[in-house]
Amino acid sequence: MKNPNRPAPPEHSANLADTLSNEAQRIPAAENAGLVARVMQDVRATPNRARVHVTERNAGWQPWLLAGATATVALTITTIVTLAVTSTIEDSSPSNLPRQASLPRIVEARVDPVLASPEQDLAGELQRIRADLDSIGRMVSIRLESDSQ
Amino acid sequence: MNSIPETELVGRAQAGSADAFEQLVVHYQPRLTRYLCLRGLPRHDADDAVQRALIAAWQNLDSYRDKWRFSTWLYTITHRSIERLREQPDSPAIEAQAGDHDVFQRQLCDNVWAAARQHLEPEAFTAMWLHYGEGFSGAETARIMKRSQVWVRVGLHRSRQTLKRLLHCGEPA
Repeated sequence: MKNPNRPAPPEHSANLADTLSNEAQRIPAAENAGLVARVMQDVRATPNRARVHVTERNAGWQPWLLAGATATVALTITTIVTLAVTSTIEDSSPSNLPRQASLPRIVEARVDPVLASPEQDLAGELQRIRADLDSIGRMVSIRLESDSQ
Repeated sequence: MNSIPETELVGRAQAGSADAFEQLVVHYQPRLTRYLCLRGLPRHDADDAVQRALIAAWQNLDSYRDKWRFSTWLYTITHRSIERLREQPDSPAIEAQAGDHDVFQRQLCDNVWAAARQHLEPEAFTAMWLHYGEGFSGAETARIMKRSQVWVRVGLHRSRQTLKRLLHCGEPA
């Protein structure tokens, strides 16, 4: 005996697939606003792990990045200020000693001011010692001349 | 959900937007509940399982990769939740509880899916529903059910043969 509730048989496989898809559309989805509300209540009370992970990751590398950037900026500023001050001092107080030769500007710029300064001091000191020795030599010769007379 | 693409909603939800996730919940909750009811869960248990699955999805959104569609990922979580429920010793006997009280059973009475449900093995029915009912590809169905694509293809073929014999002759072979 034929069942009146039985769906009409499909002609072939493609029809069967279509029948299955079409018949599935006839089964209503089960909407439940209360369930959605319960889910969202739990969702809003629970932090999203993805967001927590991002925060934790940022908490790990951000302070280091900040410290590194600060140190780099500080070092750069210090270097620039040092170079500027040194350059200004050198330019504003030219040495009284005669220069051995006039060096190209670019070579002068490369001379380490820390090394150049003692060199200049030493040259001045040697000049003073030579002058002292000359005066002592003159005094000794005068004394010897007076003793012989 | 209608105006904003799903991928964008998922991205916003991954960034922590509960409002974006709510739109995904509104869209998927009815389908997920229907899926579990068709697998034999009473409506109340299906609602509980869907609630757990959606909250688990929210908490594990960082593990979602767009290699698969979001729906595939969500159904995978839901499928596993029902598998875990089945493994619990005091769990309701799924598939055996399809009683007259279930509104879905009454709505299925004149539907080809009622025959499929009655004559196919539960796993074969699930594969068939995911493929033809929900529109997942063979690969996506295999992914959700943690089976090989060959298993899904063979299963779908056998299920179709069974249904064809059933609908033509009145009884499966």
